Amino acid sequence: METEIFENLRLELRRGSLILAVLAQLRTEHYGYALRKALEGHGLAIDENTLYPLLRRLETQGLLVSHWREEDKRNKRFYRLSPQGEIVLYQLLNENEAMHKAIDRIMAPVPSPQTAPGANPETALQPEMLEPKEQLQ
Amino acid sequence: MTTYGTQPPSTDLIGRYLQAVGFWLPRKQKQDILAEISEDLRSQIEDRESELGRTMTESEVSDLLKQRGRPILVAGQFLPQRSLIGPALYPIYVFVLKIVALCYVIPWLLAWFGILLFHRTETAAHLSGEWHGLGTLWTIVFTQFGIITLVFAAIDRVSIKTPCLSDWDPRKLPKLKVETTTKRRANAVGGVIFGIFGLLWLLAIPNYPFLIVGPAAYFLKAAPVWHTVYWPIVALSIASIFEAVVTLIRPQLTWFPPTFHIATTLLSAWIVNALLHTQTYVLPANQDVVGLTRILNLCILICAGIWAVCLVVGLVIYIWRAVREIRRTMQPATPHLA
Repeated sequence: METEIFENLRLELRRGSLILAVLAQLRTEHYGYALRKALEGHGLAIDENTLYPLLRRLETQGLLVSHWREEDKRNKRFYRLSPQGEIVLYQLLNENEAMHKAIDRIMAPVPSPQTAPGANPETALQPEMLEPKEQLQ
Repeated sequence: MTTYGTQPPSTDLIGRYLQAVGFWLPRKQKQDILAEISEDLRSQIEDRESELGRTMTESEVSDLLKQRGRPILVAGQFLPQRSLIGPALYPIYVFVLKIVALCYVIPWLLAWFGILLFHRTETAAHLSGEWHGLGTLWTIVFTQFGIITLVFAAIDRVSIKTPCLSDWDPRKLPKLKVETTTKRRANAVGGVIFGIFGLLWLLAIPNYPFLIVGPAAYFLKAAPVWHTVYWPIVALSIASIFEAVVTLIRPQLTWFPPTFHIATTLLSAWIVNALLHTQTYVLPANQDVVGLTRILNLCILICAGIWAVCLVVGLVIYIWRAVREIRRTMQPATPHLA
């Protein structure tokens, strides 16, 4: 049950970050598979069933532009950020930074289990809980 | 074991996979999406083959496709998200369905059970008739639910384009409902006073029948059924006074009134059952008023029928309130909003 809750929240948290990562990566032109490999190379693996519909949605919203082009004797669809996409990307990056800073501020005053009066050591946040355990999927 | 060698893998297994995905895609985008998925698969296979240093086997390609997911799910990701009733209207939709269930389905079900019990149907033919009645009930229920769903789906389509959901005034919200023990006590005082007057009136009726039928008491006589149901009606009146007294003394016992009403409703149901089975409530004192008594008997019969339906609805409401109040009493106290 706890795993399921975590998994749902993780997916919710990831959804926005993936859009940001895709937009950021498409500052330079990529075709689908190359984009997937590039993101994976940066530690952000993305499922093809998530990536391609997302690319189409972002294109419909005018944030990306795409065209088919032959490369290595095969037709590939290349995507890149549109001028509107660039504006939105920087707005989102600012928002993301503000959000992280706010969370850092919220997390900062958490007292250690020894110093907090009446704190439950079992439920108190431990430093190792904040470290990433595995690569994002 | 089949290998793809120089032959492109998409010609067989991948081709079949893409065909299955394409079946679920919208016609306008189909070729474009399939070309992109195909290209992604080819790139992935190429990468994998260069890692392995050989061509992929059919089984390996099959695993790769399996990992991608069922064609219908893959295609579904490319379709716009659709819901029949959106989140804005969904709570109202559920509320309406609950109302229909509470005011129609449950009373009818209870009435059906009541008919089954009171008629004591023992023969197969009777039972078959009752089951047929239940089948018709479900057909009506599903039709009602279906119509409500379609109406809400239509409203949802229209309301997306209208600003009615965003344009609202918090000042027009209903006033905060705070039921205090003082208010409950005040209601209970009224209940006791009117209950005593009602009881006195009831007790006086046998000696002074004009109190209930007015001047008609000179040419109408009460039918024997009233002798059967009179004391249960008096008991109901005493019970209502008792309930008001308990509420006056212990207004915090919020579970008591609805629980007590369940018992009084059941007693009322017994009275109504007796009345519905008799169908003669007044007798003519002379031959001149035979026609009038016939009309009166029919009117009282109709009233008893309506009372029976009201009792069923009331019983459902009291059970629901009793359960709610008992659960609330068992839960730890929560602070009031205001």
